[in-house]
Amino acid sequence: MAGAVLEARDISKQFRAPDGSTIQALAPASFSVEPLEFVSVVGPSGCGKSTLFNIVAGLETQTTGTIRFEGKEVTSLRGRIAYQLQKDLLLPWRNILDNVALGLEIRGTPRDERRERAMALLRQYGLGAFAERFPSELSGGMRQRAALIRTLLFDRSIILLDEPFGALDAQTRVLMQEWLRDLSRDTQKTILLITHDIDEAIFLSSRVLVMSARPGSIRADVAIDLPRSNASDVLFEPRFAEYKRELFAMIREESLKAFEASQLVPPPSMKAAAP
Amino acid sequence: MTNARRPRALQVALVQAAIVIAIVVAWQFCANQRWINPFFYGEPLGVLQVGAKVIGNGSLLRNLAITLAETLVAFVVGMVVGSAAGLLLWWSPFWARVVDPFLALFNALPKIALAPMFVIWFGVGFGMKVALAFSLVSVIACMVAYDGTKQIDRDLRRMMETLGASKRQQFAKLVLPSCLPWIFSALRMCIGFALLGAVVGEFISSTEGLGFLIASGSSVYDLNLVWVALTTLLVLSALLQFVVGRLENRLLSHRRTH
Repeated sequence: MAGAVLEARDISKQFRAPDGSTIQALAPASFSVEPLEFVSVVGPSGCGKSTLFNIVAGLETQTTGTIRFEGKEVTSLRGRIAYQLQKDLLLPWRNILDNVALGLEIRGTPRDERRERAMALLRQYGLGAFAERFPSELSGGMRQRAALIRTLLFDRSIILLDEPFGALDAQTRVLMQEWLRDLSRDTQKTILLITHDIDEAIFLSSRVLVMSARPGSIRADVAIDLPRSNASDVLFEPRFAEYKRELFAMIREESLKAFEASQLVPPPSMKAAAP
Repeated sequence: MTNARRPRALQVALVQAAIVIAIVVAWQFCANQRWINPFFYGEPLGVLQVGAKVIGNGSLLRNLAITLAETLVAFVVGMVVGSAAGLLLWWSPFWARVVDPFLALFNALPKIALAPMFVIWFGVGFGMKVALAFSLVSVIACMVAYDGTKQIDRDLRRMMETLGASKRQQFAKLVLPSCLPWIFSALRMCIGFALLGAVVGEFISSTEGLGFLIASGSSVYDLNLVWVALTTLLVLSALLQFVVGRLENRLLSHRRTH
């Protein structure tokens, strides 16, 4: 794929368990992402989604495989792409403005400039009134939004999001999904999203990658072709239901495999506890 | 009528004052009746006389100032050096593991036992008391700060890494601010240990300070002087606890809301 902005080829990861045995967390997995795509990654629990993202973001190193970024092979993309972990991870002693500006601060952007840019984004995404507040004073949804603005302000062409809405209640979640959808349309960003929520994946993505049970590999690559306009319309499209049925069947099958495997072999934690 | 069941602050204070007065009066009465020997136990009126004398000639204030100075120097230097050492252990997990058992052993050691050696190294003056108090304060500060670094959410560190933060930036923007509340919360405990170190140092060997007054008063059976010095030490200790407690609360609440 010539136009790919990010390409992961044959990425695998092995861990050494406490008892000395080797665990294959990630089978060789390959995928590529074109500029401005919104790609979701779904799969059964423990299939290695987060590990894959950690490797792409440069927080962990792969056992085998290569990553190409903008056509060039790279060893680590740490600091070169934006990555948001599951929790909001706002620093409790900083107000929202300074939390959001953290990435620019680390990069050495002058104080006034970074505050100005942070303020502009906060205003744009409805948090302008909370710039001087502290994270503990905000609701979960607002904190997650602040964290997303921090990720966005870090200003990288690729954004990885690891279940950013996992901890939110159902209503807030829907609102945040609509917000992220608008945001991805407005900004010129390539976004990769891990999620457990099939609706969320279909609603937000232009493409959904389905991972297999551990050791995870990319089992299917489903292009989503839905009108990207108003939220409620999309949810009731007949094609939405078709995508959902297709993805649900695949994930269920993989989850069953994962479940059966766990019946045969005790998970590493139990093994380690055995005398 | 509103709070009939709740004891009022004034009543509590009155009863407290009455208890103290009763003890002092009973003590004086027993001493007058020769039921207890003032030579071994002192007597309130004698304590007042000696108190007036040592206040009048300035010796109480001078000795108080010495003890206070020893305590404060050891407290400040011990907190700064100890906390810095504890935070630096974050920098190198390898060295943290190397140092860990030594730190635990030194923490287990009753530091007072080092005093005779400190006399040889630092003499019998100011330095020895500061060294003893410092050895108490710095170990606590170091362990508290290092424990603080261990409490930092691993994901916060990864978040910093994803934003491209260097180790120095992680230290300045994450580790230090995360650990400050832990260090602040050890302030009150550490001022107590600093005072303990200073006074015990004065017991071991000295020519001045509140600990010296207590030790020398006892050695010549001047129990009234011992009571004067003890009372002064009590007031000093309470004041230090109060001031540092206020400081601690202020620093902690500042961090909570700000």
